[in-house]
Amino acid sequence: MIATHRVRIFKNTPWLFAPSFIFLSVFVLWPTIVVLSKSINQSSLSRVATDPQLRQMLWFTTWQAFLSTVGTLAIGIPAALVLSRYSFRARQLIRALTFVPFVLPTIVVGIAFSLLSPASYQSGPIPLIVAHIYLNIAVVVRVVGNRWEKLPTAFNDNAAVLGATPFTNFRTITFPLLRSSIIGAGSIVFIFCFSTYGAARVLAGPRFPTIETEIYRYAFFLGNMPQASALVVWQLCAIMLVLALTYGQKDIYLAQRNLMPLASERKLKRIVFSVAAALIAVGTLLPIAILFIHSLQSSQGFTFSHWATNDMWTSFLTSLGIALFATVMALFFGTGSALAIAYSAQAKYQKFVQALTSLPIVISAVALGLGYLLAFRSGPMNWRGSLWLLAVVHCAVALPFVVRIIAPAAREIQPELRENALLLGASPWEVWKSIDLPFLLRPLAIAASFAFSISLGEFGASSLLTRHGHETLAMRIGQLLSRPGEQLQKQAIASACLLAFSCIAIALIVEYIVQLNRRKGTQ
Amino acid sequence: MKKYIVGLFCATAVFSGCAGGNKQTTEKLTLLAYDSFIPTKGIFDEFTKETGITVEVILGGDTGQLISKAILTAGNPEGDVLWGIDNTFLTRATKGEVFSPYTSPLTKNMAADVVKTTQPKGVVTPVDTGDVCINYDKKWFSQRNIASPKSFEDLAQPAYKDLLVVQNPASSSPGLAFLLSTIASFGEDGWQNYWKKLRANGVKVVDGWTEAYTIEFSGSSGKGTRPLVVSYASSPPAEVVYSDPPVSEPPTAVIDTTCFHQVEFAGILRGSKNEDAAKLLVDYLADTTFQSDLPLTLFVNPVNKNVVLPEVFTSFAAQPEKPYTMDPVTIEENRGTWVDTWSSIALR
Repeated sequence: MIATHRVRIFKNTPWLFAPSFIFLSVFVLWPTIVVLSKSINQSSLSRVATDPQLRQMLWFTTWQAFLSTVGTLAIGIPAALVLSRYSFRARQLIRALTFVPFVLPTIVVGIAFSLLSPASYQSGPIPLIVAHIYLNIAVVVRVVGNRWEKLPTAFNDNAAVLGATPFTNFRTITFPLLRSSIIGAGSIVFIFCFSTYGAARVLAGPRFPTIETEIYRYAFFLGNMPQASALVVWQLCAIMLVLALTYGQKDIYLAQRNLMPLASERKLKRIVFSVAAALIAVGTLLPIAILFIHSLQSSQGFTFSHWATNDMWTSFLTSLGIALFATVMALFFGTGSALAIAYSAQAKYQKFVQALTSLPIVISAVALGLGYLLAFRSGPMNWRGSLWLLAVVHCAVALPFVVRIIAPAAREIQPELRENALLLGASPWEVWKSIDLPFLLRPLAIAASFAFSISLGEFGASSLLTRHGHETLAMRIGQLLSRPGEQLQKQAIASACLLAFSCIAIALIVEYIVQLNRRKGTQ
Repeated sequence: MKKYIVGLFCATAVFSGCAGGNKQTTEKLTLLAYDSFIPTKGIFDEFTKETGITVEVILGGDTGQLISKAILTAGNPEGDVLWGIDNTFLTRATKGEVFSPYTSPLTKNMAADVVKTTQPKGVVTPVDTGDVCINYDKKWFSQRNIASPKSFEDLAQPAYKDLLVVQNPASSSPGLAFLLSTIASFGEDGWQNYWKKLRANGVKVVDGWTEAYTIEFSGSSGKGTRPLVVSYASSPPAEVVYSDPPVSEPPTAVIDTTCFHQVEFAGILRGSKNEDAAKLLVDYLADTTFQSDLPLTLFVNPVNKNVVLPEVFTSFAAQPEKPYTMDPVTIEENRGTWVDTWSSIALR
């Protein structure tokens, strides 16, 4: 591959990573170390391996995460196929829709599921796995779909002409080319399902605790911080292991290309793809539509009163403000880290940056939240209760995604382009601006929409920060749902719909900008 | 949007600057409370007028989160006064040396049994009480011409099979209260047998109050299937106040023989820089102005006997005559064993 003689336009790639390094050290590593060092001890660490209940819990956490991952891939890969092989009118819209469940508060998804099947609703591993699939399809559609869009159809067409069945075609041509992206998506999904919290509480129920619900229970209900910390460490090790096993897949370079319109295909194919696309849209939207209808209902017919509360719109504005701030920060730090990975020629250094920027999804939300409490409470660092600290947490949680979206795109830029430009006398900065930046605009826009939506929906670590009454929308949903009274419940559901609609809107705006830009580019 | 938030900050700063700044130097106190602490806006204005001290309320999660965080930060607390530790958690907090001891002289206006719950003496001040009881869906029973259950024993009868949903006492505060009331009712020897019967009768255990009340219960906004749920004695009036559209009768009622009495306390956090002012605030929280606000905002009973309860509260909130209760020390000593035993009976 080309990595060996890659032109390093920024000779000191460490400088690109320096801001993120400082950010991650102060706002992720330091709080975690403070909270763990205060409470951990040897006996509680080893108890995880010896206590039969904790062992059973670890085993359940692992197998449900594995089955959820397999299920998500089994449904997500066909969905990615439908949404990334041909261009058709609603394609971008449907792709954007699949992303919405990913950021919905899980308690809301649980309620939606229970509204869908009131009679047969049972808690246990199966509803949990179904919910995990629903929540994480977006990851597969994005990660695998982005790769699939670039696979030239010519390979498959030639094979088909030579008599390969569709299955052989997939097994021998498509799958090997997609493998790295499938493994990448699978590892992210596995990590999410392994550290599941909200969905597990609502849908798996108390008979099936998972590691994150146990961390929460030990920390807050039993007040046993050493045991909670020990579980945090175990979780960290398990996720690091998964990342290490799945990191560094070799990839063949594929250029961005324009998709064939679906309209030019055979009729049967058109029908199959259209039906499948419609199914994806309906499947994604159904729970949200149910929630929306529910939010408009009262026993006297339809009403908009649950949407007309000042508090909801105030917290919505707070959420938007925080999300904007968090997105700008996440793009700044994330792009720096991603470019540091892409421009560096040393595999070890790439691994180091990748591992460090993965930390926020590796560390338990409970540990992070309590870490903030202990780390930032005295002297010049007495930041407790600051609103901007919320944005910082959201930025930290979004950072790994930004890096994962931008780094592969930056790596795919052909070095020959830069070499030629340098030969022709352009300065490194001019080279970067005229060659790299145009390639990066699309991933930057997608990363921005990811970061923004993640910030809107974040409810893990930030719910542990003490607040001066400025509720985000996600926090408000949790609060409303914890009190009796039909009005409050309906307001919570209306807020959840608002959250879902905002995410759809953001994804649509970004897709629109990207399309506009691409059209301009091709003209 | 950022501008908006900056604007908000400035506005808050300006307002809090004006509020107390007539003659005395402005003192500021921070009241740390659980998330559902939502008294009427401006309830502390009178306190500020009397003392020149402004009060800032900050919210820190549910009761369990508040206590774990308070223990972690003992000595360098997040606020001056903590609102909302109940008798099932009090001993853990006092063991963690969270509080700087103070009891308001206003305890003279409180019922003797409420004051007695405060153990060890003199550390915190009782501020409200509430009862955790079985709630039932009135319509569900009337439509089927089945009498609603009247006692713990009824819940284990075949007529009420598969109707009850409770919370896991290992993760939920009302769930723990309900377990404690069965232990108080059946005694150390009988409660395990009772839970075996409940399990055989199809009791469903979920993780928390929200899952039980909004998803599984049939009587509120949810479309659940179970007409019996562990909730609060004050849930029926809340259903009236927050009903949609307005109703005059709550859709739910309480079985008042199943109640567990919870007392909530306020205390001064050790390490507060302003203990004298904090004492004044604790007094204010126990005084009639603030106590009168409690029934229809937090849906709890005031402890100050001089408070007149509003009608919607007196007519719909059950006031159980003999709720079960337990002193904080006994709870703290046995909770671990009880919950473990319970898990092996009801879950595995």
